[in-house]
Amino acid sequence: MRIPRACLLLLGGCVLAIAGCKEDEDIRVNTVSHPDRQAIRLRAGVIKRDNLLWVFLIKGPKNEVAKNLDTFNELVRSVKFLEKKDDNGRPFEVAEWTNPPKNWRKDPPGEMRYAAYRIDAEPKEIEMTVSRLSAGDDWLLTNVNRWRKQVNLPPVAKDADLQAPEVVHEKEIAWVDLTGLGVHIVSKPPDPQAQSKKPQFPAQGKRPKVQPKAGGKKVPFQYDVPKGWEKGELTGQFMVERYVVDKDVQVTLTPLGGGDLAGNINRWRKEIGLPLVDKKVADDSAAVLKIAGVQSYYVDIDNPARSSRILGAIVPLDDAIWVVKMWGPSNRVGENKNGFETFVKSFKLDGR
Amino acid sequence: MEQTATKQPTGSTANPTVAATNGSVNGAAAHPAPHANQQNIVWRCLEVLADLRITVALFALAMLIVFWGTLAQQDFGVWTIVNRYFRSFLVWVPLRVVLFNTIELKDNPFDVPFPGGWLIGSVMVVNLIAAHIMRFKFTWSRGGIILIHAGILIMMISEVITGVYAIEGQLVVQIGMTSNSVIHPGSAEFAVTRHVGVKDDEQITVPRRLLASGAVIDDPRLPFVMKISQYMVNCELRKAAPGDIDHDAKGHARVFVAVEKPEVSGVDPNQKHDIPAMYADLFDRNGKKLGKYLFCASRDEQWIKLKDADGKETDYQVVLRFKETQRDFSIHLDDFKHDVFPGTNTPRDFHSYIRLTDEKEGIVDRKAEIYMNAPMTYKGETFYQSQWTTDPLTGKANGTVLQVVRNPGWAMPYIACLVVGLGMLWHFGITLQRFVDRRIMR
Repeated sequence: MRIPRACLLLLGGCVLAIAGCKEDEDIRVNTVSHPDRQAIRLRAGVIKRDNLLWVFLIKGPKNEVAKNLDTFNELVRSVKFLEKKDDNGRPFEVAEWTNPPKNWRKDPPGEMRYAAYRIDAEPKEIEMTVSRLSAGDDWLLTNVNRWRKQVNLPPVAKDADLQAPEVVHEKEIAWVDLTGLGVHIVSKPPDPQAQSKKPQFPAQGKRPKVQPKAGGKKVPFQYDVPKGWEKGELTGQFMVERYVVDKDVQVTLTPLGGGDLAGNINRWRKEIGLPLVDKKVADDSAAVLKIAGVQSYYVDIDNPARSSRILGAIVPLDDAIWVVKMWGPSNRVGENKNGFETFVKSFKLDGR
Repeated sequence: MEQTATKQPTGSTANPTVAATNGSVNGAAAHPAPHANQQNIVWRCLEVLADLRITVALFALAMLIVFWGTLAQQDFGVWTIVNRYFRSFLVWVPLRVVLFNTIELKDNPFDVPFPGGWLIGSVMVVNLIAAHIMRFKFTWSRGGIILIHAGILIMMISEVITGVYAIEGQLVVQIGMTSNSVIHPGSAEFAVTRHVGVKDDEQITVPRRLLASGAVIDDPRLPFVMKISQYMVNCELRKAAPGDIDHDAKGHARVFVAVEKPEVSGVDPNQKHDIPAMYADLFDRNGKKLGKYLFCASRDEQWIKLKDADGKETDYQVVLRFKETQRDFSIHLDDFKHDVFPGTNTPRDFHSYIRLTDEKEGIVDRKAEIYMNAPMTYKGETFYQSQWTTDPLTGKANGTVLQVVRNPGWAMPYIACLVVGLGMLWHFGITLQRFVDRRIMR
């Protein structure tokens, strides 16, 4: 019995037809729908204090924001700054303001927020936040354009396009009021337990003590150097070890006399061109892990726009905070991340 | 592959034999000479097409194209090679690749034309079908061979269907937001958008095939004319020094300089995507130059304000981006959970909690969870948990990336393997039976 020829020929023809029927793309005009987009109003009051910006911001559906505008304006105008001192005697500023109405429910502080309120609204509550940001060059224009982008408005080119500041009780408030299109998102309330769950960076005197080694040995650890890492010349004043992973990536061991977790993280963020962040945000960005049996901190900071990345491990010992750092182009550091993690996990304190 | 079941007579004496064995052509023998001659020609053509030597040559060509295609991935991305070498009818293979990358040639002197995967495959299909018409008779003892060939044929058809109809992309959505847009990082497009309503935008897209250095895009549907001075398949952006900025530069061209980079190689350990970019001069409809713009897929939209014929000003968002396609349903991300093993950055669980809405089908806010090894399938597309997005300020997960895959021919390789397996069982079973029978006879 033969398979009918016509069937076989038809089959062959079908295969060739399928291969030839790919659609050729051309210029197209489409209507693209954004199901959850709506008219969004964003109003901010920005007060500059030295190098810090205090940003009071309310954002949400246009009508809901309008209902709460007077309360918001009154709250921002009532802000007073008080100077306090931290445990080390260093001065810092706190802000206070008149209490808002009861339907403004206060959130615990968290993330980037110094304070936040949730305001009853339909269908979803709206938020009013108070944040502290570092004031760079063109601080107002930069922030205004960031907010304009959030509500789908074109950027403005110069400060002259912005509203003149209002002076209230010797403080200048730069008001920004934008209405555009966007999606109303309500953030999750911060977990008030989150801070207490994370081990605090230990203060000096509460860190593991290490006996000084005879013979002037500087590094109190023993470790396994991954294959292929070459010992390099020291290029920094305090650096005690340097390894060249490849021509673009290097690893250093440096003891620091002081500083805290957030200080180091922000220093690294600055090195790779990222904006500085609040202490809490910086602390939260670090994972906690044991290195040489000591509670240590580990961060991975990447700036894809500049292709710069830093992996940093911070081991707080009594006499010094040991910083192990890998840096280089984002992709090259990524390729060597496993090696770096194996390296820091191999650390053992001398004599233990 | 065995194809010598029945040796057919050749030449003009072939027809009577066929006529005797195939009822469908019985009448042909009785027709006068012109019809018989036509049949003769068809028969001779089939005879040539079914030649076993062609089969052997095709296998050799297929091996070469697979080998060269693999070697060429040193210089180009996987999908570039797949489309150029395997899903094409003709490929120009660089001399260096022809020589199996054994000789380092600085400037490739010339390319060698070679049949592409689809041409080789198509001829193989024709050769196989012709061989069945010419030589194979369906008998129980040959049933296994026919099944094996049928399985191979199904496998080849499945590749054609995959090549033509399969799509792959990513649906990126942040917590609390809704998306119906799938991004295809393998291809780029230029998009011009204007808001036409609170929820709707009008979007004009120029496909990648029209974007090339020196191309002029002058289409009445676009609000401007675009002259592309340089198109880069892959680029790296660096901050522009004052001397880098042209006097008529606008937008990103005043801040960045795009440096052309080689296409991301198929053997690149990071397997990143190419970042396309282009420099283009834009002119309004009166011929007035709007400026020199830099468009790069890694940067945001730029805004251009233009007056229409009535003098009314309209803001347009323009961007070079990865190709996007819209779905008639939307996915809302309620939450995303990203757990790691304690004390490490090793992922333990990614979990997207979504709501699906498809008003056409009467589905509103249907809840679903997508997590590792638990994809969701809807309207022929499968959504896999792939990656997540992070807030650049806090470094925390703020959204999900779902891999979207559609392949109408997904089941065919499985069917093909099953058919080939059955064919092999059949064929070797009969051979075994013959062997056992012979042993018993002895």
